[in-house]
Amino acid sequence: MQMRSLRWARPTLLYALVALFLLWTLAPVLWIFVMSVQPEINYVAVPPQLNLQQVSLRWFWEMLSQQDIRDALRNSLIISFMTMVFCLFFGALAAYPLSRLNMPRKNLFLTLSIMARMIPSMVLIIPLFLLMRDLHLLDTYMALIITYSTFLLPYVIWMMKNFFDQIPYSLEAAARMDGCSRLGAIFRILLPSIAPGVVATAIFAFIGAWNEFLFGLILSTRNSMPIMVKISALVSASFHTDNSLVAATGVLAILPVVVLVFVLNRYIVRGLVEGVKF
Amino acid sequence: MSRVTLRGIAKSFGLVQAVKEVSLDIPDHTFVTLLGPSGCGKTTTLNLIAGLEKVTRGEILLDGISITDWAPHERGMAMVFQNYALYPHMNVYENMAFSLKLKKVPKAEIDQRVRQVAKTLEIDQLLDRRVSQLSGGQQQRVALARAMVKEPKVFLFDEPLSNLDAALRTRMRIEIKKLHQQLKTTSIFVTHDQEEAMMLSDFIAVMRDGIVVQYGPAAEIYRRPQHHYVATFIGKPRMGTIDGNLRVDTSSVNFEAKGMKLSWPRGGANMPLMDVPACLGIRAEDVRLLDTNGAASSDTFTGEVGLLEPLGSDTFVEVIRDSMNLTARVEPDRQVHVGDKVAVQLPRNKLHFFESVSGRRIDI
Repeated sequence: MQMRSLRWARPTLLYALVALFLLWTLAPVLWIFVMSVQPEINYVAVPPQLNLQQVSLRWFWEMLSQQDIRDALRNSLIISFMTMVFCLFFGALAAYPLSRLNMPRKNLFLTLSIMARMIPSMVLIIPLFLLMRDLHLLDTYMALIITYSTFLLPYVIWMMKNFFDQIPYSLEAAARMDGCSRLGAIFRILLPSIAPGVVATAIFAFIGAWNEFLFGLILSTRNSMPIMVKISALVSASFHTDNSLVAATGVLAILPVVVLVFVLNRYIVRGLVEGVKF
Repeated sequence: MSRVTLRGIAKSFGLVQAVKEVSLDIPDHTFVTLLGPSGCGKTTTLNLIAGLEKVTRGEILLDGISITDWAPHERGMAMVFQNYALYPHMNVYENMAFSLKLKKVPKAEIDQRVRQVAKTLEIDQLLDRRVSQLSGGQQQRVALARAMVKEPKVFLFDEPLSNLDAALRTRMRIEIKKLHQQLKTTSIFVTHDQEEAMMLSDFIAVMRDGIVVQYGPAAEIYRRPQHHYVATFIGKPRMGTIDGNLRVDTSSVNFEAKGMKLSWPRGGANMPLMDVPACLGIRAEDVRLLDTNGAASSDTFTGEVGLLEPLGSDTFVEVIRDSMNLTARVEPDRQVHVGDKVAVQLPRNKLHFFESVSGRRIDI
């Protein structure tokens, strides 16, 4: 009898802990969904007075009707996508020699590249602002793409290098025997053969750019303002902030990443957990 | 015509000399094996021939034209790799067609060539399969097919069979041999398996530490090894050896080791006189196992049976005595037991002698 109860206890405890952890991480996210479909008065009350009859999508329609929010969404998509492409292209070109060529000091380079990432963003904000101003890049996509790439590229290089490391030398040799140049071999054979890893890296770069706030806040004013900055602008824009509208915009900002991860889940897990098999 | 000539090629990686100096002449239509233990430079030599690595020194000629600085695909060679190196994101057909597509061969011709080669290698059922769906043996066939489709001047094989299990390896070995007899394309094969080398090759280059120790017809490598290293590396079981001293005086040739002495008249006036530490070698099939009460002659020695290796077709008997440790091949139905006292006869014309210091063959 005692044995049996013990056998139940372990998984129960385990699942309880998992549930607790999920509640801990997902509660704020759930709450924002709730907020986005309820009038403000219902959830600011203590305790909250949630009412199913008052569930409404009108804040979503209101949000989508606002040109500036739509613009911000478009800006974020363009900037994140371009950052991803930029990081993948140059990340692959940097990772290949770091993985394959016999270069002096390549580990030093790898260390330095990651060290650049260890500097707090706040420290860089002022010099970056001045640089972008002098280059006349303030409030442009380019400013944000370049800035995001400075901190995403090191990660991308590291990830891609690890994937390249797993490719047997002979695969590249075969490509070159078949008529590829080194560069041709990278793009026609090596990258496609580590596709799961490339996809995982791409999503990582996309999310990194999508979720960024601080640089976006300082380097954009109107034309290139990303959605994350727009949300905070909504909060401070007027005397009365419609929190349901802010929540709806928040949900919108979460969606692309969630969709991306769900659709490409298979690749992400394979790329990050299993690595690439040969 | 495709004759490959290596003129004193060398390759260093930093301070490591992978290939010190290799000169080989590989005639048209021949099958040549670079044989040696791992780290002897055989794969590097192959990569140099393929153009995947650049030589540090020396020259590579194809039909008399220097191709030393040519890119790999300009050399008209095709390579088969140990781990197959098939492109994982393509199916079998695309793998085979890839090189032709890069060469801008017309689509119809690509299709015709791919299908024909696939038929020859009996993989026409697999053309639509993804690489990951193939077994090891099938992958090796596809790798072979991918090389064949290119109709290369030279085939390069980099230990293509060592990832296969024993039964499959033997089968593929036969197929490669048949394929070579059929196509007659000059082939250079790298392996550490001496049996594979003997079975496949017209010529063998035995390598060690970045140099070729001996290069010649396979049979000669086996019958007249020019070096102690070649003698013991080639042949199964390993050639039996006895360390001793070789003395040639004006009238006779004498080999002395602990507890044994061989002596016979000097062959002729031009046999050089010497008195050097030397090593006697004899192959298992040349050692004659006699009963102890057989007539004792000057080339007969007694010993004790240490180990029996019955292989079905033959039995190998290890005979031990003092410094002597020889293996003799006997008929499988011969009654021999461990611990038996036996006598072995070492026929004089089957003996090999090698200088102890340099390892070089001494012709007596």
